[in-house]
Amino acid sequence: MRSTWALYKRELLSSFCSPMAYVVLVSFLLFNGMIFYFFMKITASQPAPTLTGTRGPLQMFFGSTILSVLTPLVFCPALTMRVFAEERRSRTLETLLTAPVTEESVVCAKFLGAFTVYATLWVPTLLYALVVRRYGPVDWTGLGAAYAGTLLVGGAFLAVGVLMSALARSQVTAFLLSFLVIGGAMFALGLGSYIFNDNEAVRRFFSYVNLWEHMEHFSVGVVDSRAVVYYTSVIALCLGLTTRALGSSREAG
Amino acid sequence: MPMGCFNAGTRRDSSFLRGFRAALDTGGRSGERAPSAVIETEHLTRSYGARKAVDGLTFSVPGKQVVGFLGPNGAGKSTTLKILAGFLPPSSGVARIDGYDVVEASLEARRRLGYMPETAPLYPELRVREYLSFRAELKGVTRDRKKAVDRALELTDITDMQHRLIGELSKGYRQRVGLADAIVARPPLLILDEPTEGLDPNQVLKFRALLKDLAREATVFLSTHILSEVEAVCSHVVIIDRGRIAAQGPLSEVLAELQGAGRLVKLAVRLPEGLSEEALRALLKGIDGVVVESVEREGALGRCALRVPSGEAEAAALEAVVRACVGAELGVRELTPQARSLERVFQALTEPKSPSAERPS
Repeated sequence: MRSTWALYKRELLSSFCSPMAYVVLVSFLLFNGMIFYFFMKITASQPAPTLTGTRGPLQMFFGSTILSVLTPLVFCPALTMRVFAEERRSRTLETLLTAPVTEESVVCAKFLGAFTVYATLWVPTLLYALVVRRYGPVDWTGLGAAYAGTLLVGGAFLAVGVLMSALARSQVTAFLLSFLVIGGAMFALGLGSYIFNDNEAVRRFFSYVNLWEHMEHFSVGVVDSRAVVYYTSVIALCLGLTTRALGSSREAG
Repeated sequence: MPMGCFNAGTRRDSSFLRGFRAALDTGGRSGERAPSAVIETEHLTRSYGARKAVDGLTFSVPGKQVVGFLGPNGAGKSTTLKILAGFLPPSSGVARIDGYDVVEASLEARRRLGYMPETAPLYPELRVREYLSFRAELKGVTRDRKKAVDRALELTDITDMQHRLIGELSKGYRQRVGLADAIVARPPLLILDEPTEGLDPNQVLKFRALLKDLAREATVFLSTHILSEVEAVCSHVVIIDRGRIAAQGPLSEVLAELQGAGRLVKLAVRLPEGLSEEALRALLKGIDGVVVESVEREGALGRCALRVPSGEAEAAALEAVVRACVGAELGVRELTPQARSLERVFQALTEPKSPSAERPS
């Protein structure tokens, strides 16, 4: 526990001391700012502008489009590609793993570090809610659920990214692998609920793993425990596998 | 002429190895651990694919001294150190640190050592002090962490650099940060992989003094291929070659065992035209305790390789040699005791033994 804390602090220090964090932050805000502007414009140009309520720009931003999952899909691999691949390249993995620390605490610290940076990326987007508030009331609990959903989805993506970084030899490989696995296994899987909608059981299975459906629920304030279980399981599974991968990376030298 | 010395070394070497392996076998059988041994390995083997980098190493390292781990490039030094530090698991065999198995009780073993890998990998984006403080916390230094970091900075002489970014430091300084990291938690065992690589001569001297200091409270196990370093700081050596133990024991014993009774001396005297090499050989042969290994003419010089008894009789024998030469009106131009004896030991132990190979000693 104590070593996890030390490692976590080191992760944050290294993340925020590197220019990479700021490049990611700026491009993240630029990207999201444009999307939010776009949604504001759409809702404002409608005959009866609905800036608040369930079809408002905040709900559109977090829920009803593909964009809400697209941002984490691109940014999460960028945040995690470094964590193990870089340590392996610079051989600091050797000093790290020969200190009296368990693999579990190393993996936890890496994940929590990346998660903190990810959460930090979203903090400035709270301003969007303040913008909306100028035009009407904001559903703060709904917004809370939307953020919770964003963090859960992002957490799952980050966990996949951490695992890929532990498996890959270089940062670029780590990024591409995480992008492919998240995009292929998590992102595309949800499509099934639209394709196989004639069989109820199959549709329900795919809807259980459908990121967009989850985000749509979260964005209007519905916290579905099935989704929470799904994402926490993905996180637990990936981090567990990372611990194993780290053990076997010792074997590989 | 050097060939003669080399061959003599080789002959002794093989007999030494036989005796050594016999001693090893009994040690392995008994399976008893001497309580004083800080590092102990039994038949340690590590393969990379089909290649065995480390092949059945059995050795032990006694506490509170500087122990040299020697071998030519690719002998398996770094691999062995990685196993001891708990980074690589052995393919087979056992390694124990302070009695704790590096695989079974890895965490306990790692708590007892400070490891500095080759080239001292560090995080370039951190400042020296930040890094050491992080490492100290990681190694469980909870109370007086600031003091522990201060001490490490001071011992490695980098207090002035504590607020600099590691990425901006020169190689020598980085190396010292690596060492400061190894000693920050005051572990009873330091494992250093080629620690003086990249240091300038002044730093090397300071570094050796530091190692001797550290050895008062900890065991220092350092790998190197610089023999003068071993002679300067180590009291005990483990020599490996192609993954196998070539020799181990107290430095003086290993040297004595391999060197035989004598010490090699190079002599050059003025040799006038009228005097043959044979005459010179006869002159030198008459001196008590001196064995003439070779005599050769080189222009107006006679070059000889002599073996004199080592220890107290050495000075007397050398004096007698000079007196004899001067008495015969042969000016002594050069008299060089072969001080770099470990180098010869090393060569004799680790080079492929082909009788035709001629090497300067």
